[in-house]
Amino acid sequence: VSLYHYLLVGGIMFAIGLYGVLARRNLLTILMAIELIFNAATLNFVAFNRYLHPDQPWGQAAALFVIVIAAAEAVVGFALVLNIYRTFKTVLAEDLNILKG
Amino acid sequence: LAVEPSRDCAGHIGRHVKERPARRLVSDFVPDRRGGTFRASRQILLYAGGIMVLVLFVIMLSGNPKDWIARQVNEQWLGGLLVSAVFVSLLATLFRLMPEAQAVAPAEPTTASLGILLLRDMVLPFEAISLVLLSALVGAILFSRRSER
Repeated sequence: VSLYHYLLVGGIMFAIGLYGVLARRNLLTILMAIELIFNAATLNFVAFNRYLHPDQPWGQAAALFVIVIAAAEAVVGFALVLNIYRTFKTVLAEDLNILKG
Repeated sequence: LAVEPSRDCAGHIGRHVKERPARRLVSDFVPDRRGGTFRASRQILLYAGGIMVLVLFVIMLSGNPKDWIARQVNEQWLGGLLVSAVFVSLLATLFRLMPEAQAVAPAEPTTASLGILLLRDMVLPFEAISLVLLSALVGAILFSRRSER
């Protein structure tokens, strides 16, 4: 297993997340896709840290920060989806077009 | 004992096996021996505790039988698929051009050095991120509270 494989897995995870964000209709699955993107970034941080600078854990610290940000994002995003559902009675992204001019 | 230089991240496990050919110890498979211990434990903790709630909500809300035949993707799904595929192929070719990097040292538990790093060199981002978490907490409570009028 070399760095290339880790980066490839990270890239594929990011692409799946990107596809989910671009193409899914449900807001909750879009949130899950964003989590996938965060995890791809975390994997890349840790892999680079392990293979390029194994003596200093800066990459791992950055990954911890990414995890915390992901948790905060999930919490706020879920609260927003809950509120959107209460207001508009829908969780489909294409129905939320009130900002369209 | 002749110790082979470990060439990949699993190399030091192979070294253990070489020293004790009779049996593998359980501790060879515990992530404590492979480095990244603390980060891995935090990730499991957070995802088992926090993000799993999100996934469970999706499962709970998608039980309606009329959702099973509903369209799951929007009109741009082909474009999204195309963008993702192009992205993956670009990344693959880019990574192939990179010089081969192998793990230089066997992995060691990094909890102590990570703690020192977080609380000495990165103490300002550390405090900032705790503020971010607090504000996310307060914001989530504010957002999801029913407005009583």
